[in-house]
Amino acid sequence: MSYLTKNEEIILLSILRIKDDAYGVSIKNQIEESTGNNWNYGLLYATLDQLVKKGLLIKREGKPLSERGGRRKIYYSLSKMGWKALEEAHKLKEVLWDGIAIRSLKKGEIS
Amino acid sequence: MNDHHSTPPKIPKWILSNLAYRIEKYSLLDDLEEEFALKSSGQGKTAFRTWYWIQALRAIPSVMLYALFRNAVMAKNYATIALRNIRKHKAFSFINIMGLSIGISLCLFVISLIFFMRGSDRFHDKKDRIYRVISKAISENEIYESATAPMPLSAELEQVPGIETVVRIKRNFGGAAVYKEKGFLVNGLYADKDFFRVFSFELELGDPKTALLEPYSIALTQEVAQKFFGYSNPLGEVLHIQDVGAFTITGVLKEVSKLNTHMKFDCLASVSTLASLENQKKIYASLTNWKNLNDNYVYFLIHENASPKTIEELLPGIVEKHYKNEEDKYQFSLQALTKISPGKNLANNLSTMPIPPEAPLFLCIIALIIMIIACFNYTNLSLAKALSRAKEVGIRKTIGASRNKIFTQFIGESVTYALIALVIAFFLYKLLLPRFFQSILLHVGMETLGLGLIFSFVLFSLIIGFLAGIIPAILISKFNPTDVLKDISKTKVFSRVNLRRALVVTQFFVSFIFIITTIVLFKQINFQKNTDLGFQAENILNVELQGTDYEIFKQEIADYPGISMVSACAFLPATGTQAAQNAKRSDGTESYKLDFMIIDNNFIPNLGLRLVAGRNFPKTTKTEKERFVILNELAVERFRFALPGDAIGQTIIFGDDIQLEVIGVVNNFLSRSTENLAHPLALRVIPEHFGYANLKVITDEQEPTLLFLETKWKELQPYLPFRYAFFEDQLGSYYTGSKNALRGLSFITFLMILIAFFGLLGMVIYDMEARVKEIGIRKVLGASVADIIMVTSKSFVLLLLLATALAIPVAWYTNHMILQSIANRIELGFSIFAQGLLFMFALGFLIIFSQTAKAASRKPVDSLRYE
Repeated sequence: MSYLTKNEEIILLSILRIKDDAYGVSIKNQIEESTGNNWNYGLLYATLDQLVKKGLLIKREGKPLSERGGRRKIYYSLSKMGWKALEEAHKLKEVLWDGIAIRSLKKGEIS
Repeated sequence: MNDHHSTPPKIPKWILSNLAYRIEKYSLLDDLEEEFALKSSGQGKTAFRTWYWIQALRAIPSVMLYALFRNAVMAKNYATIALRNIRKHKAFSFINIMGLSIGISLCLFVISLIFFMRGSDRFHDKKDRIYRVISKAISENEIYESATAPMPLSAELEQVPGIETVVRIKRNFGGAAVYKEKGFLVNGLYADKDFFRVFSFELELGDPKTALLEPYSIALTQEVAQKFFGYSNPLGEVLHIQDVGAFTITGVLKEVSKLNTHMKFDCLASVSTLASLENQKKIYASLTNWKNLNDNYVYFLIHENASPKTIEELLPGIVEKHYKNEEDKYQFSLQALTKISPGKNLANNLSTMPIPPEAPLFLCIIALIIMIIACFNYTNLSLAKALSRAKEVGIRKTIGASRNKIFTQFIGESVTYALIALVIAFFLYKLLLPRFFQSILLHVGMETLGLGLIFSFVLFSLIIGFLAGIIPAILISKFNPTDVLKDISKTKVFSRVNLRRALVVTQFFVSFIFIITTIVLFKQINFQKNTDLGFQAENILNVELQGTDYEIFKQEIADYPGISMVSACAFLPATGTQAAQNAKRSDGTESYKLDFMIIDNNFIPNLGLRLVAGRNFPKTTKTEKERFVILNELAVERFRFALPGDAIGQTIIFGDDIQLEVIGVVNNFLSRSTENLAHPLALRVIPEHFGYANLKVITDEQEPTLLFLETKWKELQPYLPFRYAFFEDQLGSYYTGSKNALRGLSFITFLMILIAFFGLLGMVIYDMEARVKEIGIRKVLGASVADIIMVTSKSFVLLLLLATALAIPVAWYTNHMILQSIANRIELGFSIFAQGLLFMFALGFLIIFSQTAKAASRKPVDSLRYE
């Protein structure tokens, strides 16, 4: 399986943080809260779509809403594969960072 | 109003909803709307509408990329089909792509011009707070609007609350600059010490605070500094400017020539130098002179929250104080730095003419017309070709393609064409166009091909592709598969012949107007060149004195056999320069602003001016006081003398106290420019102002004469280039401005014609192909080649005739309006139209008949064999 991209990882983790109420607006706000970046909806939905196609996210439709003209909100949650992908990403990072401390990075002396 | 808050702007929503397919489109839009509603509730709506716009626009690139990525398979299919079509129909593709790329390249050029024209001086950090004072002198019969302002005004402005810094600028600094063995001509400005605080010209070397503080300080531009000093540090070195003084170099400016600014200069000298120069009487008084509106400028910087309006309201008070006893009325007003160019045309510009504010719009219209014409070609040929595509569409539809899909495919195809055309157009734009628009390009920083510019190029060609393809796409996607596959002749495209004809007629309509306009302007300019100047410019060689003493120069050269006469003047007549001063009769009260020229006593015979009454100036020496004046006939009328002879012996008072006796009257001649008619004019003798020597040379010995002059000049002025020109060329070069514009226009016309005839060629080729069998059958049945040419050509010839018939009145009207604005103008006669018609028909018929003749001469065996 291919690695997660940074954007995918950010979205998956943000959805994890929100838990049940993860849909477009809330995911976007969560991302802004934790990374400080204001994503545009194009990027957000393109990445969400990709994740759904990869099977890492599951779509779930809510109740029809009058303020959305009778359309349903689409909620996202992690699939089993999604969990696994995150786990792997974390493990990969641990391996890569093993033995490297930020302090030594600054000094430029990696042992 | 509350209801309005929650409705987001429609346009971005529409754009986004059309682009965002294959994505959770509704969720995306609803989310955006939800956030919009949340943000905008209870607050001003415009801010959040902008927010919505920004959000929507930011989303577009990702959405499109994603859609492209997801649609890669289908997009590839469309591209294959498009490319296959391009290869299959080589002639059509060539015509289409050439037409589009010519059109696009011209538009690219126009876009970059517009980018340039958006305005000069946008690089100054404080541009929105910088203003200059401009002036208006109103005399009885003339309003003189000038970019200048008197220098002492600055002291008054410094007292005004709200003004932070005032900067005085004076032009006409410069001359031959000499350092050790090197000498160059430099042109510059005098500028106040705070120049660098107000304007964002950067100093590479030197301290911006003190560079222009001390008298005889000079700051050079990098280009000039390099000429003198190479790469070594010039600070502290002394540069001698001939006839001005020795200046210490206190600064080097970063590249100025690349900046888009209305000030052009090689160097800046400190204004504090002026006091000493005025004391030495080296220059005309300006520091305390309220009446010098020739070459001084007052710029100022206002405080962040000051209002220019309140400052402007104080100006009439200042006028009242200082111009109490003047007969002329003076008015001052403010002009924002950003409004200088493009902006209104004022006299005495600082260094460059402002671009007229209408120019960008005018260019836009021209580009639009060309593009429409080029798009018509595509539309036209695609429609003609539609039949051959009908089966493909029919099959696609039967397999299950929706109308939208077909529409997208055809739009995609035209966009592909446009993008291919863009690539070619870009090369044309980079390589070919600069040759034709050289003069314009000098002012345009073409090398600065910014991201914004490239982005707008691509965006532009996408739009072009869309527009060119939309009509065929709509019509073709309408095809009903059963009709198309069963019986092709039932398809609607056959009834669209009229649409195609209308497009061709429009193309030729526009082309004809352009042809006529080009001819008219050509004739007009030639006419102006040959108008009666009132003086003889033949064989007059004008040498720029560049500060050289005229008497010395004359002494050196006058005896040379190749030169029959030498005279001098301050500036040349009819070349766009003019000077004026108030003048009145000593026995009258009425004063006029009267043009004057400064000449010597040889000028009148040398330029073949005719003395109507009185006599020429006597021979004078430099030290002698000015005593006499010669008027032209119009000036005699202006001063209300009944006859030219009555003026002789009368006294005219110039300015306040220069009393001159009228000694002669000459014929009227063009003094201002060749576009203007002759004006009332006075001729005066002021030797220290001589700027040109006029040499009458003997025709057949020009080469050695020039050689002789050059060597003499080198002896007199080893550091200055020998600058000379024949008067006739100079009068012509005065037209180079309009000549260049004309060259541009004729090139555009040429391209327009090319595009239109390409279109016609395509139409005829197609029509002949479609009628191959008809022609074959006709031939078999006994029709001669001539008959067939007649039959097949008729409809095209009729189209051409219709287009010209419609265009003639429009062309007449537009050109009539153009000519109205010119004083010395040609008649808009029959011959111009005859020439235009001849040209148009000759080319049109050539194309039509060559193709029909080719089709007619084909052997019926070949065309009918397959049946």
